[in-house]
Amino acid sequence: MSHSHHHTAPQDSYVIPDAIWDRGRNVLGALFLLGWGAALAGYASNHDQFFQSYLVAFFFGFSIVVGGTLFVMIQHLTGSAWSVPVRRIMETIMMSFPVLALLFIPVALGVHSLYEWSHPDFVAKEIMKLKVSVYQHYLNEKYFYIRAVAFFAIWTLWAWRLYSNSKSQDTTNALQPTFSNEKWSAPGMLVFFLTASLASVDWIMSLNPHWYSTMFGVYCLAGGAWGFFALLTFIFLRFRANGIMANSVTTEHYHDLGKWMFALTVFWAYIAFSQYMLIWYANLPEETIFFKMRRTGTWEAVSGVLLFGHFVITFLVLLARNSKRTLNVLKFATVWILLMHYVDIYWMVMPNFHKEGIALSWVDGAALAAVIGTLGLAFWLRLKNKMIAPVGDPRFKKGLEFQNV
Amino acid sequence: MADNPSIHGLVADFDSPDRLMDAVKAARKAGYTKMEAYTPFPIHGIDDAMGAKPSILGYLVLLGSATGLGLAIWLQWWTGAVDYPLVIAGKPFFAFEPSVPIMFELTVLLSSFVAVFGMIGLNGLPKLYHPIFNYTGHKGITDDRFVLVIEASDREFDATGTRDFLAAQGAGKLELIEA
Repeated sequence: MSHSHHHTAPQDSYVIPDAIWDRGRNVLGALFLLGWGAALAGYASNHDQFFQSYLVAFFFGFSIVVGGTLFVMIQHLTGSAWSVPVRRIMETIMMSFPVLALLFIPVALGVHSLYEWSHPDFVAKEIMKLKVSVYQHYLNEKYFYIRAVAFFAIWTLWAWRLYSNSKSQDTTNALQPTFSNEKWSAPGMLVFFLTASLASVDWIMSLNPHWYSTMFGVYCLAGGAWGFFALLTFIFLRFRANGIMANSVTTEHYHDLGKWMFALTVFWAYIAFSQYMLIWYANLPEETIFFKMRRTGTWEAVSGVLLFGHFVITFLVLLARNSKRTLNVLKFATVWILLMHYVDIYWMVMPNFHKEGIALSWVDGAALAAVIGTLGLAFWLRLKNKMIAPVGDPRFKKGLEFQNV
Repeated sequence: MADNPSIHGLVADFDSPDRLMDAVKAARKAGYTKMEAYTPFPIHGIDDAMGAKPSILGYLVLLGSATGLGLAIWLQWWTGAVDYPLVIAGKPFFAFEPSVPIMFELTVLLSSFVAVFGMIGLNGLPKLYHPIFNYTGHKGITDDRFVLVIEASDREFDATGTRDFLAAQGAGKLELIEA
């Protein structure tokens, strides 16, 4: 703008001050240590319970990271300016894939506790009864591990390219990395949708090897992207409370983050309902078993919590324009969404093991603390003394000045 | 002086969006309330600067969506379970599961009708005549001119006083236009 007193440049440093960084490390480090201590105690007391709780916690973290990666790529493909000030934090969440690969190890070790298809006697019976070959050629331990390694290799490659391209602009202001990221993002969308869908099938859907839904992958991604925007907004609200980027991320940016949370609330409900309605209408026993299990005993109440808590309440809270521009409403929404996303994954996993009704365990909390502590600490270590916004991005200034019409 | 019915208002022509924005803010500070800005492209923040109130359209849309939702439930329940009950594939006469798509569609349909036609109505469209066309430079408004009109019906309006005020804001061209 030619004369700039309307748009005073934000006075932010884009580096987390040491004192605040140390405090964050202490909190996340304590969560990491206590979480793993408790999780190992949980493992010692009950192997099966530990692996079940851990799978829920792992998939909670995984789905949010993969949802975030999709949205990093969408920002590049659409050339968005509004999201540039918050994009480095998105990218830092995306860079959790190498850590997630390590966090996958307990899931790989727990295959026999988690998945019926890993038991030779179960498979022998299935082959006798159904004459199916899926267990020989796809759903067995060897291919399960091979696929997991391939998935993490692909995801890490993409995350690393997108992240390091963006990072290189901090000092050079070059345009070329922006073009490179656009080139990686287009095939990346296809690759991530495919691989993340297959991973959801491997890790969650195959808990009941007879049940299938072609919408399952996108159901998981929708929930993950929803949780991701809640996490991103939560992080910036915490930053704001500590004076970090408080002048750069304005009500206008929060408004857009709120719109995404609202949009994905509706998208998740759309997918969840479509999956439910098609199964309800076709009324085939091998498909309806999924919902029958989730209407047994106290699981029916959890299904109700999802319908009203995951969708109706969030929808009403975020509907009005004003609520998306009121930071206290958003603060509530972020915590609520993350909680509901956890309930959603718990609801997908646990009825397979506790058929008669919900059975909460302290190990659930321990495993969640271990996973969040690990991912959170790795995230925080990556931010130390580094730019927390892509200040060299050609759209950075435009992103700071952005306003909703 | 606000009584001459043949005058619509005073046009002030600026050469940049920033100048226009400054003039709008100054005009509000000076107590003017009836003004309109005409620009070749939307200018962020000018609604707030002019003190334009938020539209009531959102609430009308909410009303439309509630009507669509209610209509869809009533339609499916009354035709399927009351007026002409038929057993189809052993399904209940009325259930929410298969009804939700229609509920969703009618909610969206009536919401969009209210949004589009409500927007047109609240804007006073279609409108075949507008006094701004009497401004001799009005073609510039779709090109590179940024125009502020202070209307004659404004209580603070005064042909010479307002002219002096707008000239002080850096207006390039000033013109009284007929209603």
